[in-house]
Amino acid sequence: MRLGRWWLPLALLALWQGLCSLGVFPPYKLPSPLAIIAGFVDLAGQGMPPGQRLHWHLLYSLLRVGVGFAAAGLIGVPLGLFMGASPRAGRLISPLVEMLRPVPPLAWIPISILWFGIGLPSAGFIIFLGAFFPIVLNTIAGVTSVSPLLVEAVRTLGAGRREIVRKVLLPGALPNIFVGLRIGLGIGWMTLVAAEFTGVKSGYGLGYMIMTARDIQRPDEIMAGMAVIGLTGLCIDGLVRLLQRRLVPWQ
Amino acid sequence: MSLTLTGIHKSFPAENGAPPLPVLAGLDCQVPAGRLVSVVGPSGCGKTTLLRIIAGLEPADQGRVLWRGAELAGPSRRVGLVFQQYALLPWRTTLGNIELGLEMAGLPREERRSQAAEYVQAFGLAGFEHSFPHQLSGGMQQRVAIARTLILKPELVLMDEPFGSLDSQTRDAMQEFLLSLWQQKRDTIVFVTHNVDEAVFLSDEILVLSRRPARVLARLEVTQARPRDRTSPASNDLRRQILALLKQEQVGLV
Repeated sequence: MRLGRWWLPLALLALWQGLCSLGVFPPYKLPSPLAIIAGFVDLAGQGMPPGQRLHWHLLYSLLRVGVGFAAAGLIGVPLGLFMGASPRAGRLISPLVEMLRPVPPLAWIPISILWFGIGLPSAGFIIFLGAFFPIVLNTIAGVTSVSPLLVEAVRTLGAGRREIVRKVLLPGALPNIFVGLRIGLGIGWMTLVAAEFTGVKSGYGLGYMIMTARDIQRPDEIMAGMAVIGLTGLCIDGLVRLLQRRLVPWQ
Repeated sequence: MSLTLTGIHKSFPAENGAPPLPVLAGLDCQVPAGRLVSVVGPSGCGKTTLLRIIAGLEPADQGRVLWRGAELAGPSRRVGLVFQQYALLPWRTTLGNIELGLEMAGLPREERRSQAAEYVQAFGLAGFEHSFPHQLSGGMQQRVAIARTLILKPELVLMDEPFGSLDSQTRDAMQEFLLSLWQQKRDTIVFVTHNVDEAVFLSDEILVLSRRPARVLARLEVTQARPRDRTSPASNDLRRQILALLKQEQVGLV
């Protein structure tokens, strides 16, 4: 039963391993799955560069994403609520949002380094930019999806503006807010690694680790690092989904 | 001591430059306090707009809405509105929805809980306190919505086709339930419906509206004592009278 979902990836892995063992791909271009596992063990045990072990890289990356994502959520959700609840404010702000949105977060790296230097603030800022727009736009969509009938119903029960926002618009937008948070977190995580390629002061971070592995020609460690990024992204998304199920039980 | 509407005008802007659509053009009517008054009229005649104006959700272009001599401006806890589509908050349980208005009124949590629990009992919702609206039947959802409104003890209750989307058996049961509530409290109810049988069964008085722009065509007293027989000759006569009035209004409309 459970194997049913996994047989295709497992078969591909076996094929990959077989082709590598037969020498079809040169190991310096495409290491075999087993070599990647060995690379993972090296990353975890010895570290890359030696002494800077995997869990520290992971921790630093998570810290940067945490800071940038938290800022994006703390600013993006209220701003989205405000823009969704007040059409006039929405019309005023949305051209600005629409103009900034298409600029890829990575294009902000040079100016961000100029502003914040190399370090946590500039990495956090890049992640913030990646996560911010999906959060704002989905929050707005969530607010506008709330039936005006519900707003009228609570007005007849004596609700003022603040109560309408707190008791109707926010909970009504919550499913969409979660969509925005999940997309934002995904983009933030993707952006992070690229931001770390351009340099980190502390010498830690998954992106930095991968670039170091490239410098000394360790494709096994590069790919093990990529796998760690993918699996971590999966785990974070799973956590957000868990939170969503707790906070949005009516769906 | 009544609800008095004088010279209510309301039109809605039409699209692409057409002149605005008048929905109410100088409507006058009076609803004595403590009575259950139904409003019937051809569909689209402005019954709902009328209720929304009384509830303060929509401003009238002209005219005054007086309740017990004072002007009603904007939604107020003294006036409750029950919607046809229930309008329950889908993320709140039965208790949470019933408590909503008490929360806005700033009542402490325990007080809210105990009051809501009484209404849960009285409205036959016991066992469903923690259900979400989508887990309830239409009749139960409407009972939650009515409880949510009545728990605030409004002086004037407006109902906009509250049983319109229920099946006929549930509808009959809900009509009797509403009457039993009203006979205990004797608050003032304005009940909009397109269902003539319902109006005849429930009301002390029936206002028949004309087609758009609406004015009051007739004001009919229902003198029959309660409990009423839905098929009594008196009920049938009244029904025939109202249907004839409405039919005249449909001429040239369809």
